[in-house]
Amino acid sequence: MVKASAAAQEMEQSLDHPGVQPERPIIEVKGLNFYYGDFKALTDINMTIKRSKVTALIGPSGCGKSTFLRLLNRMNELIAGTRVEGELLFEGINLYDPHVDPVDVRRRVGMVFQKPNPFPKTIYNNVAYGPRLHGLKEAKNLDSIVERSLKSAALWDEVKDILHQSALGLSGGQQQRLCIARAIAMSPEVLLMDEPTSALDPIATSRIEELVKELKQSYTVIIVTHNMQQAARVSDETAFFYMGRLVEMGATEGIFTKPQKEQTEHYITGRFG
Amino acid sequence: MQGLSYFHRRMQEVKEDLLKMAGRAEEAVYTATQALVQRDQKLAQSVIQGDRRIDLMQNEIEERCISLLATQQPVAVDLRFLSAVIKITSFLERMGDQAVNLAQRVEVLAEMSPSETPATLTQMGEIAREMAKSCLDAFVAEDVAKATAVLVRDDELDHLCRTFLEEMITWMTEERRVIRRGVEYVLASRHLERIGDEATNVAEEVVYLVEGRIIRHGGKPETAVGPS
Repeated sequence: MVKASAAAQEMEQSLDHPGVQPERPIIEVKGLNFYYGDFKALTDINMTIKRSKVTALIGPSGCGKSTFLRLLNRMNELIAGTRVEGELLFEGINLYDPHVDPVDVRRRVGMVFQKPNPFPKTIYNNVAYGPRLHGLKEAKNLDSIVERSLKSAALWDEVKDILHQSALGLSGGQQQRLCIARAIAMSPEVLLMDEPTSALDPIATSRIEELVKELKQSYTVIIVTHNMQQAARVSDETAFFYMGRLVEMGATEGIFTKPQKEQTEHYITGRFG
Repeated sequence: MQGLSYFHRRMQEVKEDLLKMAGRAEEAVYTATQALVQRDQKLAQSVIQGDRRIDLMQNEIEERCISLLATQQPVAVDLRFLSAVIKITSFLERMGDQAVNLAQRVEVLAEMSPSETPATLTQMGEIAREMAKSCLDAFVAEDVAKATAVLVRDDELDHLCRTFLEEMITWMTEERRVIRRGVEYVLASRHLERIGDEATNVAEEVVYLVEGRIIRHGGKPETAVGPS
């Protein structure tokens, strides 16, 4: 990590003492605007993400929810011509401070994608890949990380005897849990999930949903979903995006029984258009 | 209904069926109170015979609501609507039962020597009838002010019920031969008071439907459930 600024030093310190202030939101977004070239994809987003909770981002296609998710681990800057305005504070540090290292951000904020994307390697090496890349070499430590991560992702019992077989031989649901294990192996504080069950059958979906509820004990989870019922089932907080703006955010129970904004109600009850 | 989704068409049908059931329950209350004032056995009989249809309608509507809950997983206003409908059908069914009970009192009273129905009881009948109508108007119009007005009228009805009981106790104490008739009147007043209670229940559901606010029993429980 670059250590040229106070922000970067502070970030490193907070790394050593994660979760010092449990009441403080883990993420705070202030006046955030985001552009793809001339196109303004997000406008004046202000929100807080609570620690150790599952937050669901919902909204119609093109509303900006996935763009917002990708901003949380600086994935959008991999696209040419993008621009961020405003503040996106993670543990009080602006993620877009020029002195903050995006690689470090992505270690602390893990991501699971829509389609399971295991590496064409063994199950073991998929999980050990990240820690190895960050310099961990000792087999004993790696073994322990692999086992712990696979257990956290509720996959250990199914794969413990085939750890050195190809990950591509697993079912879709197992592959997605492997991807979650791979993300967990880096000990992130936040897990971003971009429609993690859209390619899975109902049984695999149900297992991932159960897993998400367990994961929040150790991680803060932010999940983008098009499935309203999934948002209602797994999340504690729900944020509704529409046309690049955050329309409403609140406790999931409230959003799905009595949303405050008419736009939210129209969207979740299918009266949109 | 063109332009509505399958789900919203089914919801519209549920609403229409509920209004038909409500119409029958309201009619039962109206007819039973008329029968009381006019001491009309035929009217009383028609209330008793009509109740079966109200019971069956409750079953039909409830089944349709459960089917929509199971297959469509509604949320927000749709969820509140179906939840409200399931409860309202139950309140309407009980309103119909109270109308039947009142009609049975009329049958007994009609066999006694003719006598003017006490003014307080007649007044209670009018209020109960108005409440039954107003709570359903509030539901149709999703009108919280109208629903709240029903709650106020229920206090009035309860007060009249207590006053009437005192009147009857005094009357029966002074004149023992009227006890049989007096007991029937007291029971009738109790049925009218219960009709008011069911109308109040419906009005409270209207507030929940429109505002998502639970007002029965003085509002949302803070500590009544959950770990103690």
